[in-house]
Amino acid sequence: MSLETPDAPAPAKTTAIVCRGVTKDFGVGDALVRALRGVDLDVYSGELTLLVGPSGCGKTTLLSVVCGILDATAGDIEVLDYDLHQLTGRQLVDFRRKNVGFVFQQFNLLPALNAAENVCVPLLLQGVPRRKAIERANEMLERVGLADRAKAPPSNLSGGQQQRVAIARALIHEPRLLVCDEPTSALDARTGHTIMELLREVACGSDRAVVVVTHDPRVYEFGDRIASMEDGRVVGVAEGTEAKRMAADQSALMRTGKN
Amino acid sequence: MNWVAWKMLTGNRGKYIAIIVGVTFGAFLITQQSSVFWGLMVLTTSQIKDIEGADIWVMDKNMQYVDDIKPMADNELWRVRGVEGVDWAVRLYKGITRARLEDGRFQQIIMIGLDDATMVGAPREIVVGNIDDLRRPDAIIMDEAGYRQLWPNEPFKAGKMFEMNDRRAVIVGVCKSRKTFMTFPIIYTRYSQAISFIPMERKVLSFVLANPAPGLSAEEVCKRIEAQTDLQAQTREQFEWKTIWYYMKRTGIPFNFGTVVLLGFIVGAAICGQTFYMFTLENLRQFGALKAMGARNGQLIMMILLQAFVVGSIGYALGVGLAAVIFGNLVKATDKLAFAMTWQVLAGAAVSIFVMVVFSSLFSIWRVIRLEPAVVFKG
Repeated sequence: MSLETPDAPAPAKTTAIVCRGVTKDFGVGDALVRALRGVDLDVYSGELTLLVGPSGCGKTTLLSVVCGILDATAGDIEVLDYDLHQLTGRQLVDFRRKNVGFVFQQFNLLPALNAAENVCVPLLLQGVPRRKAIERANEMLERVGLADRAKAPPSNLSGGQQQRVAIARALIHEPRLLVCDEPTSALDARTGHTIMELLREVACGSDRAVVVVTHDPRVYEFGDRIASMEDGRVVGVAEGTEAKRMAADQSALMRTGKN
Repeated sequence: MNWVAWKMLTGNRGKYIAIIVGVTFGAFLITQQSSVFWGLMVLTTSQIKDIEGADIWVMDKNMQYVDDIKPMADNELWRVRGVEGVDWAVRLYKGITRARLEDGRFQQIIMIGLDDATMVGAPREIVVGNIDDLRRPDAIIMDEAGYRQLWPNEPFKAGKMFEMNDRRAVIVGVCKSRKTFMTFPIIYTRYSQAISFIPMERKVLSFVLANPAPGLSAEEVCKRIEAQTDLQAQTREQFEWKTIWYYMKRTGIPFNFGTVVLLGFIVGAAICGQTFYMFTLENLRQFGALKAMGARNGQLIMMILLQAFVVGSIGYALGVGLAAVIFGNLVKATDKLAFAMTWQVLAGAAVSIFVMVVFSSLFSIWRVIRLEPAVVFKG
């Protein structure tokens, strides 16, 4: 696997995220931990990019940095044509609100709100009137196949249904970047597969980049591009046929129980 | 997002009720104790209020409150009458004397001696008898509460007798009057009669009651009286406040009530604050998710403050309502309870509760502001 692959992205593709030499440190002095050690990565709109690697390799930190939740210690990060280094704290919050959708491992739905109300939260944050936001939320729930569960509270939904609600919430404000942190790890294999299918179906559009952090090899088949991380660096990016081969290899390994 | 804050608050019914209970307890205690305190303060002025008809009270310059009688010479009345701007002035006796009842019991009694000619300051509501009956020899009019105290379970009637200073006093009427701080029976009689009910003293004049001439304010005439007579002159309102301030400054009443009010505030704030903080901690991931999704700190602070305002308002209404219902009914049932729930008490309690809930929510606000949205990516 190499950074330069034969199946290079077509020139028409738009780069959504450009990371060059990105580092991220936590703590200072003897307690300093370098979570990212010079990450170079391109993510394209219209693609589903998987960030894979072992636990502690920096996947989630990188995800947090590219969506503007954490500041990088050094390096250049351009996301959706915004130079994140140039944005103030308040501008970063605005940037996330307008441009980023989030899908979390633990769903993070508000237990006091029903499904439709949860879905409409990003619109409420943008100041959309509640009635209109609920209408849009019902439409989104229909897209993720939960139209009949709109009034159900999260506690009455299965894990898969909650993640569908979370996906609907992440997409309702039509963000140009969707970040998903281990979206299948709290789900069984079958439900996880369904969720990834849903993500591909409803989330991937020509103007939207989807970044999924996972260490679940079973979802590799859904990635257009697979960025492997180790020890705070991107050590390789597979795309196209190479990505498919990687996914197939992982499937084979899993079938033989060697992974 | 206010709607989301409301749903978050009411969604956790147990904690929602617990917070309201905390605020209700605080509001109840603060309102009840403040009302009793103010009721007592009002009691100290009840005799000033009951002696109506004169806007100006003139007294010895060293007098500090209504019961701090420093008798003046009778000729002070003429000096006051001589001040330009005084429309009229009359004398008033007020003092505590000892009565010996027919059965041999002794009882301290507050005696008011009214100007013989004008009866200025006479009780307005006579239940039994007539004010003119006071012109009869040895006549007194007693207040209802005093009558009940001396002759419990007996109907009000004229003709009861007792002795003061070895002189016979005959009850010719019963009147209504406000409860007093001292809770002694109150009797009204003529000034000339009053001084016969007390041991002989050189000076007996307690107050001169006066009114300003038309077109002059009571304050202005008070200044003139003080300038020309070396006496102290107060308007009715000034005298009431002077009396209240005396009790506030010179007695332990405010401190003792203040400690209970403070206790109510602290306990209410503790219950409210702790539950509110636990509520926030439980929702920390959700707040983190909101921050990640682009909620500003200001929006989250407003959400928390709105939640605090809601529980504060409901708790305040319940606390004040409970105090009003319980103690309002108790006041009707007994004349021993001093309870004055004035708008100032309600406003003070509202401010206290507002401070309490804002204080309680500060920890939550601090926690949410410091919350890193990256927390939502931790599994």
